[in-house]
Amino acid sequence: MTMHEHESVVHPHTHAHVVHYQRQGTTWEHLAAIHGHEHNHPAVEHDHEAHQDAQKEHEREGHARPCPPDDRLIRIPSAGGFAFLEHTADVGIRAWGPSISDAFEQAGVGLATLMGATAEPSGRTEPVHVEGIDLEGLLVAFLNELIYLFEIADGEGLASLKVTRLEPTSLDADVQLAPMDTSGEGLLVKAATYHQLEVSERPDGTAEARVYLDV
Amino acid sequence: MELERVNEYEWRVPIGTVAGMRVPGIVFGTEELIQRAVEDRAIQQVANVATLPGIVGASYAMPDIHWGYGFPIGGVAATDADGDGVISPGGVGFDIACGVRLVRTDLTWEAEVRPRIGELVSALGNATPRGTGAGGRLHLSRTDLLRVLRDGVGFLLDRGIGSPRDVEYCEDGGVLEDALPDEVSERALTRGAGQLGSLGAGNHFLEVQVVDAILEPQAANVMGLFEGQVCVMIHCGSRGLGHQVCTDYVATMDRLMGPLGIEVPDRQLVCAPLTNEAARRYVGAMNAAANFARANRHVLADGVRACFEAVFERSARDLGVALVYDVAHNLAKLEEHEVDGRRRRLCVHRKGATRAFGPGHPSLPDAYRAIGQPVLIPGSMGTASFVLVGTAEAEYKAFASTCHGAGRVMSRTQARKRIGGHELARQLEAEGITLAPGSPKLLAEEAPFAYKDVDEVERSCEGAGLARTVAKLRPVGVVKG
Repeated sequence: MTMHEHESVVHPHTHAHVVHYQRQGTTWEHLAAIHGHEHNHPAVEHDHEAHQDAQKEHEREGHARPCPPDDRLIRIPSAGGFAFLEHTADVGIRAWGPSISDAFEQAGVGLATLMGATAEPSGRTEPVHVEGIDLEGLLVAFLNELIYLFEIADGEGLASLKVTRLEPTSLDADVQLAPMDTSGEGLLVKAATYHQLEVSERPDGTAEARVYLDV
Repeated sequence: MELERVNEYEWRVPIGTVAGMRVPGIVFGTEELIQRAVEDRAIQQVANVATLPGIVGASYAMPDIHWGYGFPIGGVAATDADGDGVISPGGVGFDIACGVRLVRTDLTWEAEVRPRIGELVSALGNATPRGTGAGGRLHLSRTDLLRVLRDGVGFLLDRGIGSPRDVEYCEDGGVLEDALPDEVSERALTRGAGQLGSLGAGNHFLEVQVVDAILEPQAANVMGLFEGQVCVMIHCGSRGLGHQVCTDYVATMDRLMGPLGIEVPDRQLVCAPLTNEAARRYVGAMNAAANFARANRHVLADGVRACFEAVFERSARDLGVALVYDVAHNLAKLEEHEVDGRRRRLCVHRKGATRAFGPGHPSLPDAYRAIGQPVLIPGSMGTASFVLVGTAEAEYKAFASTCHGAGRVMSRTQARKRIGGHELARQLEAEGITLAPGSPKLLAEEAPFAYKDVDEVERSCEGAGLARTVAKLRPVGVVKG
């Protein structure tokens, strides 16, 4: 295992964007656009396992260890994931998971990551209870509750969170907060909005949510 | 999306663009600015706003229009205050009464400030709490916080902070009398208690600027502006207190939409008739948050005054440090306007737009009544800012409103991909701009190229008759939020 640095690099990058959409609830179709642009990578320091098993590696069993890029890593509280959505002035979060509770947890972790408010699991647990007229309203209320907690928690960030009860119009969660490194790289998020808000449950029971934040 | 061109600087979004539009949309700007707004989905938002119950005239958007949440940024909508008009907290935004304050000095750049700029920017950086979680210059007891919400800037004067001129030259005399501090939630008070006198983050800034050009000598003279002069511009809002007020009342009104039978095309447009109890409470809380925002800029300006005294070792009076004007660009206000030859009481929402009363308006300070209301347009970090004045014509264009800034064209991630923070800092320094230390990542997100060309926005405002340009200022020192 060797720790080493890469200098920042700019290279041409060609890739495809593919959108899957379901036409009037029947067939799946694709919309693809291929384009190229310059791509830049910031300088990074990381380490590799030495190449040991060419067979495995060619079967794409990764050998690079994850290295913290811009955003600090946080222990994933549940299955699923989140991604940030581009917005001219603000920023959105798409979160998904095996259930709505999981997707909500992912949205919460996404928010904390954006705000630079993540910490090592330990510390105090804050019970949270919010209400809303529907799932979408609950998601906004839940994220606004987290924004409030992060803003008043002096130098504390999100260590972990668990949605403990989810009803159609109310939600309970345990939010663990712990002291964090306050290097000031996080965004100041003013609030979660209802703009293009969506919470959907797929036929297989998995769930996805989309929410935009005012930053 | 089909837009009809009305003239060089004015475009119409016809009724029917979105189902349920009660009035057309009117967007001001050059063809290029409008094209961007179409790609950006902002025009769609102009059309969405046109569905609000009781909307009067048109759903307007200023030349710095861009994609917001609910309302477009740069949106102006007036609703009938004596009829079925609504108020929409999302149409004011989370940063209630976010705005701009311009402080002048008698100091000249070349001879007096340039040799001391490093020292000055460093002092201003230390005197200006900023970024996430920053505590303000003043930490208020609950009683004092409630007095700020009720009395605005006046409370601070009572405490010996600032001068009576600061009240006279602030929009509304530094206080909205109809504030209802009791309607501000406990959570909002908790968020705001420690934040009075702090910049916040994002596009907020405090800049040392030089008057680069005077375009209207008479108006500039009245405002005490001259070429080569050093000024300080402060751009910030009502901090967590305002954010929480909006959050609370958006949630409250969200619950009312069903019972009230109001439908909106975007849920962030939730609203309530002005006659509704929730609307009455929101207006009171919003006004209280606006008082907090003015007080916030006042406290920051007091820090600026102290820095100039410390660096130049002369009194603020001797240095000519004085408020030019303070104006909000996220607010809903009850105003009288002429509609089809008739005076009507309207609730004018300005979301990223500035009120711009023309000459003679009774609510202007005596000194400015002849020239019209000063409008302060902050450029993006590192680019020019402008001082404009309202025109009589703008009253009939968009309920006396004009733009509020440059307007973003690029997301934060895109900006970060284009340039590293350290490189941008080097570029700005190479252009002669001194930076107070801050996060390189957040600096990159506010890179000048992430915004529209503020000159084009300013030209559009003048071309459309929304305001006249008085002075252009360029930054020489930046304290970024």
